[in-house]
This record gives sequence, C-alpha cells and structure tokens, in this order.
Amino acid sequence: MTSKISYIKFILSDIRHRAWLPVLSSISLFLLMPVYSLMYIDSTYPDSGILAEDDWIFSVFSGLLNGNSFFPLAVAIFILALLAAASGFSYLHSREKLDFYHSLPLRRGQSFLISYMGGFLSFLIPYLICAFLSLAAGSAGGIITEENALSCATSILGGIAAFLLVYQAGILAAVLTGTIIAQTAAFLVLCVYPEIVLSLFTTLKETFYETSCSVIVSLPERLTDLVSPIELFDRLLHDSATADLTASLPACLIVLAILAAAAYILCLFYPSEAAGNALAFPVTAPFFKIFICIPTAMCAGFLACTLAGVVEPDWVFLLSILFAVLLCGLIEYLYQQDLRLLLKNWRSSLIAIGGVLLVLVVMRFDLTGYDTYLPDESRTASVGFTPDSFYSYFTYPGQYSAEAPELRIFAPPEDTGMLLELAQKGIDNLEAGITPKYINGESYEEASGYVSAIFQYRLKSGRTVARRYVLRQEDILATLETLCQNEDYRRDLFPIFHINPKDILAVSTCDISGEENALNLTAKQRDALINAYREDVLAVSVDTLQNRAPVGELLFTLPYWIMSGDKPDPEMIFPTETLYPTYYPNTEIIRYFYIYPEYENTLALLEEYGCVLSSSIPEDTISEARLFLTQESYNAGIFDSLLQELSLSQTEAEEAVSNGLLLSDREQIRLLAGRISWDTPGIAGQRWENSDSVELTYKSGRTCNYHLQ
Amino acid sequence: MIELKNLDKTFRHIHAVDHVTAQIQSGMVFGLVGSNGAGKSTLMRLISGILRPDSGEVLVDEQPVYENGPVKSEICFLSDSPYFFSTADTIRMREYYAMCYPNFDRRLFDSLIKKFRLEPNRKISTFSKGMKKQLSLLLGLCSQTRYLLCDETFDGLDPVVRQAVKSLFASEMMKRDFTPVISSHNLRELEDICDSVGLLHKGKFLLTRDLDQIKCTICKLQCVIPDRSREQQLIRSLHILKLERSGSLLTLTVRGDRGEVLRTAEASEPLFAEVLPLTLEEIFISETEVAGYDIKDFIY
Repeated sequence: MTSKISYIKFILSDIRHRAWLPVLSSISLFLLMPVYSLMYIDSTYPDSGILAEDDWIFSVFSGLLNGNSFFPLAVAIFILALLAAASGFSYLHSREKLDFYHSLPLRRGQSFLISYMGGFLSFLIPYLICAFLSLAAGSAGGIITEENALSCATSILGGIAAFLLVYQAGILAAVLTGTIIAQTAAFLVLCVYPEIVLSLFTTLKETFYETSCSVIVSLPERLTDLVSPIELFDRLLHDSATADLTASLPACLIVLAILAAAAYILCLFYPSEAAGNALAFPVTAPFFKIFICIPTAMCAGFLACTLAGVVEPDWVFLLSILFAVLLCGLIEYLYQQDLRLLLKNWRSSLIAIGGVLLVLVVMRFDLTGYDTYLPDESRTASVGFTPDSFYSYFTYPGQYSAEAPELRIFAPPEDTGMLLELAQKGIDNLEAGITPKYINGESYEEASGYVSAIFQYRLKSGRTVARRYVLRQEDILATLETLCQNEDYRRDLFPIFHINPKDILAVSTCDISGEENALNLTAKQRDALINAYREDVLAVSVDTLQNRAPVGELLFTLPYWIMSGDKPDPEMIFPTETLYPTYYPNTEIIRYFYIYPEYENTLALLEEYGCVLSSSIPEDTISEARLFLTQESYNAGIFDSLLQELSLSQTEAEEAVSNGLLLSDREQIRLLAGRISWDTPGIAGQRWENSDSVELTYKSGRTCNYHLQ
Repeated sequence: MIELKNLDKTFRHIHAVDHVTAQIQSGMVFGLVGSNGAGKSTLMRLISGILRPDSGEVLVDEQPVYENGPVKSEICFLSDSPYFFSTADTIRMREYYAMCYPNFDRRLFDSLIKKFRLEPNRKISTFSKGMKKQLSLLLGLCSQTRYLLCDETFDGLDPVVRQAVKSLFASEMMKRDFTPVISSHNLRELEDICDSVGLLHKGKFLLTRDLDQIKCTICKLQCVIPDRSREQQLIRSLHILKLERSGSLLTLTVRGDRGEVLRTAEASEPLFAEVLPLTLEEIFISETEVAGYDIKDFIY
C-alpha cells in the first residue's frame, strides 16, 4: 500500500477545476495593471515628455503595481483573494464534496496544501506577468530606473503579501464554518474584530472618562493597523509602494503565520459532519458569541450615538446593552437558523450581555479610579504640563508632525511636587463638576477664568500616563511663574529656541493694524534679531505674557519640512545669505512671536532696521467698523456709556447683539478705535472676561478683529 | 478484512453509530441494510475514513483508516449522491481518479463506458441521475481498490444495468481480491448479490451473518393445529419473532433451523404444517420489529 502523490499534478488539476479563477485574475489584472499603467503614463505625459527624475510620477507608478495609487486594483486583489479562498475551500461546506475529497487517499494536510497552492497560484502567476508587463511599460516610458527598481519589487511583494493576508483570513473563515453565509460573516469578523477591540479602548475612555486625553498613543492604538487584516492590507499596499516595510512586513509575516497555522490545524480537525452547520466546531459557539458580542455591542452603541450626534455616556450605555441583546439574537439565529430557538443557548447570551454590562458599569462609574488617578511623587520622574492656551499662544517648528511639540515639554524634576498639587486641584475641580466637557459647553463668560490642561506623568517605571483637567487661570499663571524661573524650562517652552536661525528664510513683522511688513535683512541682521528676541524672552515676566497687549509680532518663513517634522530635504536648497521678503515655494510662515513693550532689545534692533511698530490704528485708514456685542454684556449694561456716546438707538444696539452693527460714521469709528485692543491671547488663555468685538475694514480692503474694551 | 471495534459516533444529540463491533470478511459481498436513519451512511463514512470516530476504531487489513493515505488508497467510497467536478466529462474524472488511485485501470474504464453507452466527452452535469450513478460505479470499480463501499449506489439503476454491475462485481471478485460493501434499501437486490449482510438499527447491528446462515436460522412456519393446548405448547417451544393468525391458520416467524422447526410443528399433530424460507425483506422486517421498529407504528 503506497500513497505517493504528485503535488504538482494535483495542484494543476485543482487549478483546472476552477479555471474561471485564473481566467478572471488574468483579465482583471491585465486591465488594471499594464493597460491602466499605459493609459496613466500616456495621459500624464501626453507629449511623451517623460522625466525619469520626477519622483512624484515614480511614487505613483510604484503604487500602480499593487493598488496603492489605483483603488480599483486594490479592490480587485481583495476580491480575488476572497474568491480564491471561497472556491478552494467551499468543499468543506457541501456534504457531497466533503465525502468525495475526504474519501480520497489524501491526508487532510495534503488536501489543504493542494487547495491552498491552487488558489494562490491562480492569482500569483497572472499577477507577476501583469506586474512584469507594467514594469516594461514603465521602463519604456523612462519611469523605471536601476535606482527605483527595488521600490517596484517591494511594491509587487506588498501586493502579494496583501493578497495572502485576505486569502488566509478567507481560508480561516472557511475552516471555522460550515456554510458560505457563516463563512462570509466569519471573514468580516476576522477582518474587523481586532480593530474593533483595539479601538474600543480609546473610544470608551474618551466617552466615559472626563480626564481622558489621547495625547499618548497607547499600545492598542499602535497595534490597530498592524494586527487587523483589513488595516494591515491597506498599510501593506501603502508601505510597500513607498519601499518602507519596516513595520508592516514583520507584522504581516506574524499575522500570516498565525492565520496559516490556525487554518491548517483546524483543517486537520475539521469534522466532516460540519457541512451545513453554521460553525464547524459547535463547542466554540458560546465562546464566539461572547467574544464577538461584547466589543461589537459597545462599538455599535458608540457608533449609533455618533451618527445621532449624541455621544452621551448614558446613551452609549443604553444602546450598547440594546445592541448586545440584538447581537445575541442575531448570532443565535445564524447558529440555529430558527427563530424559535433564539433562546436555546440563553446562558451564553446572558454572559455576553452581562459582560457588556460589567464593562460599561466599570467605566460609567469609574470603578477603577481612572479620573482621580494621581501618581505618587516618589514614583514620578517628571511631569509635562500643557495648558490648552499653549496651542493658541505658541507655534513650534514641527507643528504639522504627528507628535505635537508642546507635549514634549516636561517640567524640571524639582517642580514635580508642585505640579502634582496643581493636578490635585484639577481633580478637585472635576469632582465639583468643572470638567473639560463642562467648560466647552458653557458660555464664554461662564467658562472664562478656567483653562483645561494636559498633565503627562512620566513614571519612573518608564510609562507615561496622561490626563486632562480644568484649572483656574490664576493657578496656571502661578505655576508658570515658578516654572519659568528655570532658564532651561524657558528654553524648552518658547518656540524661538527651537528654531535654528539659519533655517529662517524671511522675517516679517505685524502690528495692531494687522499689516505684515517684510524686513530686508542680511543673515547677520537676522541672527542678531533672533538673539535679541531670545534675550527678551528669557527676561520677560509671565504676568506680561498674560496681561499685557503686545505691540507687534515676528513672523518667520521656514522650509516646509521643518514644520512637518520631516527629514531635511537636500534638494530643497535655500540661499541663506540674502533673505526673501516675499513668499517662497515649499515654505511655511510661523508666527505668534509676540513683541511686548518690555522687549527692549528686539524693539531697539527693529528700530535700527527701520521697522516701526504702531501701537494704535490711524483712523483715516479705516473705512468702516462692525460692532458685535454679546447678550451678557448688553444685559449687564457694560457698554451703556459707549452706546450713548455712539448715539445708538435701542434697535441699533439690539442689532449689534444679534448680527453686528455696521458703522461708517467717522466720529463713531473714531470712538470705537479708541476702545479697541489687539485681540491676542495670553499665555494662560484669554486676557478678557468678555468677548465683545469690533471688526474693522481698512481702506485697503483688509478686515481685522479687535477686542472691545 | 474490515474490523469495526466498539465504533461509536454521535452528531450533537444523535447517536448515529452506537458502539458497533463487527467484521467484514475479504472476498465477499457485504450488504448493509437498515431502517432509515439507522446509521448506514455514517458507518460507511467511518469505514472510508471520512469521519473520525468518537471512540473505537476502524481497521482495514489491521491498520486504522482515518488519515491513513496508504490504507485509503485501497478503499473507494461511492456516495449516495456522487460528486463530479462542475465542468468535467468522463475522461477528466477518469484522469482524476487515476491520479488518486495508482492502480486505476484506464483500459477497463474505457471499455466499460462504451458498453454502458456513456459518452466520454459529454459534460457529466448533463447526465441523468442514473447515468451519474453508473459512472460513479465504473470509476469505483476501475480504481481497482480492494474495498468498494457503495452507499445506496444501486438505487436508481435500471434492472439491466443493475444486473450488469452485479456481473462486473462477480467478475472482479473472480479476478482479484475484491470486497464490495453495499448499502441499500432494495433488499431483494442485495439478496441476489450479497454473501453476508449486516442489519443495522438505531446505530447498532442487530445481526451480521452470512446470508445463507441467516436464511437457515430464520423461517416462516404456517400450520393449522386443531388442539388449542397443543398449539399453545408449540408456541411456547419455538423462538417466535412474529405471530399472525388468520382464522385457524397460524403463521409464525421463527428463529431456528428449518428442519427442526418442522419436526417440532409436526409433533403437535397439525392438520397442515409447512416451513417456508424468508426473503431478506421479511427477515429485515421481523428483526427490526423485534427491536421495536414495527410497521404497525406507521400505519395505525
């Protein structure tokens, strides 16, 4: 008795039995790869003026090989993988086919390998041929060079890996189930389940916890697009097209290994009697129900609230329970295919609903003490303190990068105790009902005096924990006053110390009139101005930064890569000896470098360079003004005297409250011009208790907003 | 030889095969009969290695079948609803079977499909149900495996083809070591072809014996005994499976040797006594009735 089999013959036979698959792969990939590539090259360069050095066209072209730049190709790869998995392993869902295949003198492992390879080769061979044809088209068009050929190879590799990811998830879904409907449902679950579970951590925290803030990317968040097949599919296509597979390739290999091992092992033990049942292994039914139901119900509850625009914890709570009940019914129906048997496995349904309830109760009533968490000083290495006011007061280089520069600033270790005390005040406010959500929902006047702030506790264990509290403005100012006594902290805090003067391409100023004036400086003058500004910043008091109105601001033009936090682009060479007074391509203007009257060094240099900052607005430059009053100010009669001076009727005053009142009388404009102030924020938030304002329209056509005093 | 040792299989709450122990001798035609849902197909699928037993084991030539490629290459299972590739013709199926079963006899297959008038290049999907069964049988036969398991494969064949297949089986058994195992509801057909039968009921074998032996050990006695007390004495002295009375005519299905039963009846001085052999169908009905599967339950 021998059973030597020829795998090649069996695989070829398998491909022949589902010949439609390689045919479909060939036709769809041929149209979507070489044909589309030719069309794209032809339409991009209609005059055949191909530029081999054009990185952009190459990056697009490498994406055409795996669908990263051409969505229909990505969809085709996804669908072909799904069809290959479904057709290759559909025999598991039919008793006739199962009897036939399992009665053959082949071990199940051999049958698995034959079907697996049959489906894979049905895609791989047409894909490689089409990729080769696309490369030939690109090469003929001058897009492919020796340098970027490697990127094309990784792009093709990424396409194959992405196919395998969906293919193996499809196979695993097939061996877990006994019908095509259950297989489809299982495939969807396999694809999105990791993402649902991992993203739920953040979603629930943000919904139920008042102090939650997403400034630190947690491990589940980092894993989301590396363990979820659907996310990984997308990321693989992107990363391989850009030849950066450092994170996604190892993740993909791990996920592929897990999927393949699970599918193979389950296939070995697949019960032949499972065909026609929802699940291949009935013993797993309650576990699947519980593990699917708990995260999905909460996710659905949150999603429903988001769609309804009411993301309130109580509604999320109620809807999650409702979805848990519905999901249990739905899953049980899929299992039993009989409405009368929905309560048959009531114990697992009860556990699933109870599980949802337990998680929600723990979060809703903060049984873990998340919101009141405060680390012990002895366990805390340092604390990062970032009031929200910093976001409107400072602009840092790297502002457009994923990591906010503000959040990299940590206080000196000796101030840890003081910051923990401040955090405790935040917790006290929280317990008194003053929360970030509360102050965001209240009117300007009621919320004024409060600022929300992020605390990052860097623990000695290496972990960093972040919380957001609401603090009184004066507490923040007192803390900043102490912190700013440390010069190193000031150097960390003020953006001017984060800028390399040599990167500055142009310097401008702006004053209360809102008009920007470019300074015609030499590099030496620029460096001197930066140094003077730094000296002033190191000396200025926190009180000035909060309560004084600036006389002007400096604006710097920087290469874009500095703002985006990318690596320096060697090809983006800017002359630095002569500064550019105007906008230059691939640059960005960074502003809010306020100049206060105390900034003597800066003001002296500006004067030397011929720049005079005006602290008042010449009335003759204004064409009209629009007055905006808040209902609260109007009711309180704060501006009664002004309204009298302006000789406004009650109807006109009400117009100013509702829509804003347009004034063009010179006397009225003169009066208003004397009552306005440059509407700049302070370091710890708004400088004013009211938000009444005046919008001035200059004769030049510009409009600027000012605070009404 | 196929040995079933305490074989057990349960599907959820259905005990399909209940601790079955039996032997199927090589070189004989074994018939598997049983009521609907008795577990015939399950037993066939266990023997052919499709299903994994919950407990017990199936040994073919002293080796376990499940996941044993070399052993399975000596077994060909023909399902009650045969499967063919969707676009295949007979030639493609022949090649696939030849790939799976190394001893597949292409020449025999080609000659047989001609004799059975099955067009070689016609799509199997256009075949009638009977033609598909014929093709399935021919593929199984030409696989040249030692064991051919036919799960109700004979049902649906016309009498001529059925007779031809029986002849083919006989011819193959003459030529080589060949053991067909046939399950069927058509007991009259099995009676003609089987050397031994296994009667399965509710997952258990009620009996497994040579057909001749079965026929010798069970018979039908028809007699008229005028004396009531002698009649009662006769009834008590026989191992009666079934008793029917029509006027003074007593019809008894009796377990025991035919000659001995007749001698016992004649000792009761009957007016008339005759011992008749039972058909397989009658044996089936009697045995299953004893096991609680009574036709009256369906009628009344």
